[in-house]
Amino acid sequence: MTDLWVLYEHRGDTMEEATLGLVNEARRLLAQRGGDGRVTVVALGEDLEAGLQDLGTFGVDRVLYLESPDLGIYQGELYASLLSGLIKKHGPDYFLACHGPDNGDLCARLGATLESAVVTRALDLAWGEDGSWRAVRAVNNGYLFERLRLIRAQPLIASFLPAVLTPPQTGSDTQAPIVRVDYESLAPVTACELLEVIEADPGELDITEADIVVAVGRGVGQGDTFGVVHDLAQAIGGSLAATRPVVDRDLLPYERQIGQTGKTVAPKLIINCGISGANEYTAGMEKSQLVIALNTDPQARIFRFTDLGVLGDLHQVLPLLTQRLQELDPERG
Amino acid sequence: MLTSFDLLLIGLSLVIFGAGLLKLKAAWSQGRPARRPGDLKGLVLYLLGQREILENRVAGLAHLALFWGVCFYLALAILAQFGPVIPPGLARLVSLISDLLGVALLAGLIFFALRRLGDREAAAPRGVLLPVAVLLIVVLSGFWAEGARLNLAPEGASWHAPAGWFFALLSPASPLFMQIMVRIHFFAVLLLLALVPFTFLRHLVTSSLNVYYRRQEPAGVIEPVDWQQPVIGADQRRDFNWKQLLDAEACVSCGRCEQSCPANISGKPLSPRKVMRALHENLRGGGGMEQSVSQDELWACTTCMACLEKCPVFVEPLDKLVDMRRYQVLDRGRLPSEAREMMRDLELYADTYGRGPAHREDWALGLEVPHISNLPGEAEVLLWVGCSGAFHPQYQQVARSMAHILNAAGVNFGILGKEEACCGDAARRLGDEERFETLAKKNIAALDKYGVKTLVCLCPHCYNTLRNEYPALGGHYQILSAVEFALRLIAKKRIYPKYPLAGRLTIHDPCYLGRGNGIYQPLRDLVGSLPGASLVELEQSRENGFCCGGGGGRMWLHEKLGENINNLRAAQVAHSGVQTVATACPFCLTMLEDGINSLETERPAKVRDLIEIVAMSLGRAH
Ligand SMILES: Cc1cc2nc3c(=O)[nH]c(=O)nc-3n(C[C@H](O)[C@H](O)[C@H](O)COP(=O)(O)OP(=O)(O)OC[C@H]3O[C@@H](n4cnc5c(N)ncnc54)[C@H](O)[C@@H]3O)c2cc1C
Ligand code: SF4
Ligand code: SF4
Repeated sequence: MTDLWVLYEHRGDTMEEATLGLVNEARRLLAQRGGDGRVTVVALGEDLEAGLQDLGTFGVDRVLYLESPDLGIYQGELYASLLSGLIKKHGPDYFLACHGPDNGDLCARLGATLESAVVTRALDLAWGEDGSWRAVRAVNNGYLFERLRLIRAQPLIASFLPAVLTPPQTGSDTQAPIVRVDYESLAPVTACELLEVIEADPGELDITEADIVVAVGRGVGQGDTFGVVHDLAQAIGGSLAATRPVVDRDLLPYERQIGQTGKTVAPKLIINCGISGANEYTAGMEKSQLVIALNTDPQARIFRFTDLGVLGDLHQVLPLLTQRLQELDPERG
Repeated sequence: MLTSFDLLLIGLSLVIFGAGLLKLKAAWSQGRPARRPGDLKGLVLYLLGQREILENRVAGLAHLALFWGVCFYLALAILAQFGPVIPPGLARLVSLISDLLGVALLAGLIFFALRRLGDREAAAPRGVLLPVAVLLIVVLSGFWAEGARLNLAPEGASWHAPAGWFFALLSPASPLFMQIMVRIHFFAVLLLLALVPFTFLRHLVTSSLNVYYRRQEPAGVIEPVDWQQPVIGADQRRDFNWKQLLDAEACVSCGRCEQSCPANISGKPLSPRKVMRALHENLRGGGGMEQSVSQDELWACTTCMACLEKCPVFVEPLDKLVDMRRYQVLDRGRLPSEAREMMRDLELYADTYGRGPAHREDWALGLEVPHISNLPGEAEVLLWVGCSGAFHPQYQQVARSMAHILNAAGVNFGILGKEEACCGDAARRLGDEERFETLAKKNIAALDKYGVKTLVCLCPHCYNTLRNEYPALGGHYQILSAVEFALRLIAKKRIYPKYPLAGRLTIHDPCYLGRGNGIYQPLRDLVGSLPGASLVELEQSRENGFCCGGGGGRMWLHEKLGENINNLRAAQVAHSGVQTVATACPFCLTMLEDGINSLETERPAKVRDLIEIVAMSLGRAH
C-alpha cells in the first residue's frame, strides 16, 4: 500500500494553507498510482494539536505528531535526524513538503541521509510511461526549468513551490486519527546545539518577506522628515519600503524599492504614506491583502487600490497613529 | 625614372600589402554568415563627399585634407610615370594645387597626431602614431625635395609653389640633398603602403568596405537568431557574423558614438566605442566578450540607436550588444532579476503588465471599438493597441483618444482585442529571442486569420517590430504609425482640429520613430496642422534627439548607476521653458513625466502624447 507523507506547515499554532495544497497534491499522486494508499501528515513542533484536528476533512488518513519544546523553531540537523529516523521506521513512499528556505534545507539533508532522489522547487510530478517518476523543477531563480527522471526514489522527496499548490475544494466529515510519536525514542543525534535565537528587527526584514510593510513616497518631503515613518514602522512592527523617487534620493536602499523596477510584495498589510500610486509602483504591490493609503490629494490614484484611504498630511496623521500603537503595545517603539 | 631595384621594392611592398589584407580578411571571415548586399554607389558618394565624417567639423576637414591630398599625389605620381606633355599654364596650376594640398595635408596630419597624443584613453586604437609619423616624413621630404629643386632651377621659386619657396629657404642648393630627399620620400611611400594592413591605416580598406556593406534596412531592425548555430547569441568571436567582425575592424575609435550615448552621458560604464574596441581586441587575442564587457555595461544600453546614427563609418555597436544579451539570457540564463517578472508575465499572459488577455479590451469599455471580426465590410485599418495602450493607466487615455479620432473620421476600424499579444520588442531587446518569436508568431497567426492588411500602431516599439521585424517571420502588412495616420486624416479633411492649443509646446522624438525609422517631420507637421500651435524645438531634437531612457527593456531595469537618463532629458525640457512636451510613445510619456516630477519645479511642463493633443483639439476633453 502506498504511503504518502506530507509535512505539516504552520505558523505559530495555526496551520498554513500550503499544507492542504500538499494534501491535494498527495491525493492526485495517489490517484495516478491507482488510488490504493493513504495520506499521512507529519507534524513537528509544539502546541499544534488544535490545527491538526480537522485534517481528516480534507482527505488526510492519519496524522503523525511529534511534539517537543525543542521543535519550536526549525533546526536543520535536528529535524533531519528525527525525520530520517521516522522514515526508516515507517518506510513511506513519498515525502512532500512546501518549498521555502527551511524545507529546501530539510529535503536536501533527508536526501543525503536516505540516499534518495530529491526534487526541490518542484512544479510538477508525473508518472512516466517508462514506469518511473518525472519531475519538473525551477532553476536559476525560476527563470529556467528542468525536467528530471527520478531513478532511485525510496522515498521520493519533493518540495513544491507554493505557487503551484491548490487546496482541495470541499471537505468531508471524516476524522483522521492523531498518532503521537515518542520524541525520546527517536534519540536524535546532532553535532551542534542551539544556544540562542537572535531576533531580526522587523524594520530590517526583507520587504518581500514581511507581513507588514510601511511604504513611503515623495510625499514624505525633503530633508529631515523621515522620522515619522520610521517611528510608525517600529511601532507596528513593519518593514520600511519606498517608491523610486525616495530610493533615488538615497533615503532608503534599492532593496527596499517596490515596483516595476523594484520588488513585488504581497504583505498582509501595507500602509502607503505620501505615494501617488503610479502604475510603475502599484505593479509591485497590487497583490497585498489589506491596503491603507495616506495622501493629501483626494484624486491620488493610490486610492483606487485601498481598503482604507486616509486623506491627510502624513506629518500630522502618522505621529498620532504611532502614539496609539505604542499605547496598545508599550513594548515596541 | 624607376630602376629595377625600385621596381623590386615596389613589388615587395605590394606583396606585403596584399598579404596583410588577406590576413585581415581572414580575421573577419571567421564570423558566421550574414547577408549584406553591397552598395557601390553609396560608397562612391560617401568617399566623394565625406558628409558623415564632416558631421564633426574640424576632424572632418582634417580628414578631407588627408584623403584628397593622398589621392591627388597618388594620381599625380602614377600619371607622371607616363611622362605626359602638359602646357606650362596647366603645369603651374597643378603645381599650385599640389603645393596647397600639401600644406593642408600637413596641417591635417599635425591635427591628428596632436589629437592622438593628447588622448590618454586606453581604448584608443593602437598603431596610429606610426603611420602618421611616416606620412609626416613623406610630406616633409616631398617639400624639401621641392625646395632643393627650386634652389637648383634657374627660374627659382614663384607664385605657383609658395610652400616650395618656403622650404627652399630651409634647404641647400645641393643636388645630393635633393636626391636624398627624393629617395626618402620614395621609401617612405612604400613603407606606408606596406603598413596599411598592420596599422590604423587599415581603416582605408575596412571602413570603406564597411560603408560598402552598410545596412540597407532602417536602423530599428534587429537581425533574427539563427537557431542552427551551436551557441545562441554571441560571446566568442566566432559567434558574431562576419559583418559584425568587419565592424570591429572598421571602427576608427573616433568616439562620436560614445559622445552621444545616453548611457555614457548619464554616467553608466557603457561606451559603444569600448564595446567595438573590445571586439577588435577579441579578434586578435581571443577569449569571450563576457570578460571585457561587464553586465553593468551590457544592460545599460537603451537601444536608442544614437551610436548607429553618429558613426561616420556605419559601425553598429547596438547589434553586438543585443547578441551579447542573447548569449547571457539564452545560454547562461542571466536575465537581470528585475526583468524576470515581466518576462514571466509575457510567458503566462502575453503582455508586459501581467494582466492577461481577459483584460485586453478593458480600456475600450463604453467606446465604439469593435473587434476586427465584427466589422461591417472590409476594415480600413486595424488599430494595434499594444500592451501600454491596453493596460497602462495613462496610455489607456491615449488609446481612447485614438479611438475617438478614428470614430470622428468615420474610419472603419477594429482591434484584435484578446487575440493581440505583446509585439515582443522588449523581450527581443532584452535578449530573449525565444519569447519574441513565440509572441510574434502568435500575432502573425491572428492577423492572418482575419486577413488584416493595414495596421495603425499607437506605440513606436510595436510599429518598428511589426513593420521591420515581422516580415522575417512571414508577417507582411502595411504598417503606419498613429502620428502618420492622424496626419493623413487631417490632410484628407476627414477630421478638423479646431480648438487651439494653449501655450508653447515642444516635441520629444521617440527613438523608434525617429532614428529607428526616420519619422521626424510628420510629428512636426501634425503639430503644425493644429490651430494655435507654437512649436519650440529642443536643443537636441530629430537625429540628435536624446533618449528618454526607456528603450531596450530598460523600462523594467533598475537604473542604479549614474544619473537617471529621464531626469537629464526632463532638465532639457524644463530648460526650454515650454508648457507642454509632446511625444508619441508610451515609454517616453512615462519616463518624461517621471523625470519632470523628479525636478520638483514650480510649474512643471505637462507631458502628452500627440494623439491626445489631436483628440483634444477635436474637442474631446479628458
Ligand atoms: C521605467 C520606470 C520605472 C519605474 N519603476 C518604479 C518602481 O519600481 N517603483 C516606484 O515606486 N516607482 C517607479 N517609477 C516611478 C513612478 O512612475 C512614479 O514616478 C513614482 O512611483 C512616484 O513616486 P511617489 O508616489 O513617491 O511620488 P509622487 O508621484 O510625487 O507622489 C507623492 C504623493 O504624495 C502626496 N503627498 C505630498 N505631501 C504629502 C503629505 N504631507 N502627506 C501625505 N501625502 C502627501 C502627494 O499628493 C502625491 O500623491 C518608475 C518610473 C519609470 C519611468
Ligand atoms: S544604442 Fe544608444 S544606449 Fe545603446 S550603446 Fe548605442 S548610443 Fe548607447
Ligand atoms: S563605432 Fe563608429 S562612432 Fe563609435 S568610435 Fe567606432 S567609428 Fe567612431
